[in-house]
Amino acid sequence: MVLLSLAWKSLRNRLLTTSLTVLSIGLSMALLLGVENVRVGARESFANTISQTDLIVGARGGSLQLLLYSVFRIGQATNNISYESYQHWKNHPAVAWTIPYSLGDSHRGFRVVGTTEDFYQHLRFRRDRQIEFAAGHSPKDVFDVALGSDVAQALGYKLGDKVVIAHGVAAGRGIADNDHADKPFTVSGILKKTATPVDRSLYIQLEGITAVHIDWADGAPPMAGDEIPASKISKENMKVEQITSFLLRCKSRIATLQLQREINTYKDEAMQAIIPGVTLQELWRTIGYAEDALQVVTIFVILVGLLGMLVSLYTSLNERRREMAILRAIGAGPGKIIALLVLESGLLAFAGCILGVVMIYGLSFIFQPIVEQQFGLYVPVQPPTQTGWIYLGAVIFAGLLIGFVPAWKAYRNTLADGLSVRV
Amino acid sequence: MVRFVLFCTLTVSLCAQQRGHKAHEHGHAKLAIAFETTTGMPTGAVELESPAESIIGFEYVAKTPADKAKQEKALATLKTRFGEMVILPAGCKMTPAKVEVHVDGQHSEVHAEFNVKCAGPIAGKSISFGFSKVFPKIDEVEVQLLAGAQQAKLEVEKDKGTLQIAK
Repeated sequence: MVLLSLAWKSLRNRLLTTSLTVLSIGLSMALLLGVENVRVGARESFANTISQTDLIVGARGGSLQLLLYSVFRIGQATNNISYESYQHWKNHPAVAWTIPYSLGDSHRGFRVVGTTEDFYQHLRFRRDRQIEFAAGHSPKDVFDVALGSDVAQALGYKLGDKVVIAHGVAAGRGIADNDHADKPFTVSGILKKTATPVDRSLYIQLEGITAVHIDWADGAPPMAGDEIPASKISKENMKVEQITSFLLRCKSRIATLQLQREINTYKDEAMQAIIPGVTLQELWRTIGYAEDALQVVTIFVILVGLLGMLVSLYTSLNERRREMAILRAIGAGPGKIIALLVLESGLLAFAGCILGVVMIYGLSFIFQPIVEQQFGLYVPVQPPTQTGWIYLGAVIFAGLLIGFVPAWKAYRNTLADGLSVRV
Repeated sequence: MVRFVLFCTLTVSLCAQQRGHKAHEHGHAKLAIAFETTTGMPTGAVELESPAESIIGFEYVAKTPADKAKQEKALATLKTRFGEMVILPAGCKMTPAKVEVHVDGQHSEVHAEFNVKCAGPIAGKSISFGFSKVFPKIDEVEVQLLAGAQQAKLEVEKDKGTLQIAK
């Protein structure tokens, strides 16, 4: 106890050096925990891009591909599925709800998604968050379109604007000939930001997709004079024949397993059902190398911080030769000196860790909304994760260990050395 | 002529029904575990899909009394020792619902379903495995877990690894 109070007083005596050392450890600790939080946040945001969906169903092919085009709007489907099969599964007694997607068109580099009212009602992300409208309402007419928030922001659209969608999904403007310019859409709603891929698409009704292609034949636009004018098209006379994929929620988790098997062995059409969480996990494993890189960087940061502490303790020892000598003279054995220095260094590391935790809490609290808005990354403000605790423990342990270096030096500096110094 | 056309359509449709085979790799089984909830007294189901070779030792249709006996014995072992293969959190009890052999072309698969009832919450607990102790020929199992809102997957090689149920 005497040692502890002595260590404390000695640290307080050199307040500036002590504070700077604590600050440097605190900063590196905050960085370490911050990176850890971002890492967890990135993984969580990624895993929660889609929630409460039990199965994603599409044409048989790669499961990763199905996930990519259905959730992230990356890549394309090799095959569509018939609307009839979709209806079959939609009406299956084990199914609670479905969200159909019809993909393949775009608008100035953003994907156009044909869907139904179910999308706005049932889609969930980040566990239980639901789609909301910043302005307007969901598309009610065949030629209505709702915009994801990024689309509205990037293109500066507002309610009532006319939007021409292009055939195909090539980035940039579609080929002029391929535009569905004769059938413009009217912006009926703008979605609130979700920080998921939902923000980067335009949403129209399934019938809208049928409507823009109604006078096309064999994938080519109609010849002059053969066009069917938009005025002749209504939701009722549009027959949806195919969709690209659909999301599905089962009434129970046990039924999910049975339904997945049933869909995968469906005889009438080659289909596959994937469990999104499982495929997301596979995808994360392939892109998770970035995670390791972040971790390596933070470990170096903490090493630099600890090295700074070592330097400050070591150099301060020079000023304290006299102090050490007096301590020795009044009866403190080498063990006591070592214990004192190790304790001081441990205290510094401990204080640095506390400062780091406080800083990271404060910073994440302040910056969380900004990071979410700007980067679509939801960084949770939460107590350190298990890995975070391990880091904290490791740093304090390393602090104690580092104390042995100056302690060893102090031990070697003999009594005479300190007393003979002229002050 | 009509008969011929009818015959053709029939055979084609029959064949079409049998096309499309599942991937089949000896020693590689698939396990799916589902729990409705992880709190209260969860109920669930466990399904195992394994190449018959890895469990029974052969994949042809058992015809001789010796083969039939071998098959019976293997399936009975599967039923009684399943709790050693899939080690659920304490308090969870599995009862066999269905254990069958499906023949798919030249291959056959063992399909087993078990119902699960747990006496207490399982959130935060883990599931471990011991397939090769019971059937040494199973060396890799792809495990899927659905538990409440959790969807997870684990590749279990030589019984290594545990699956954590989310809190």
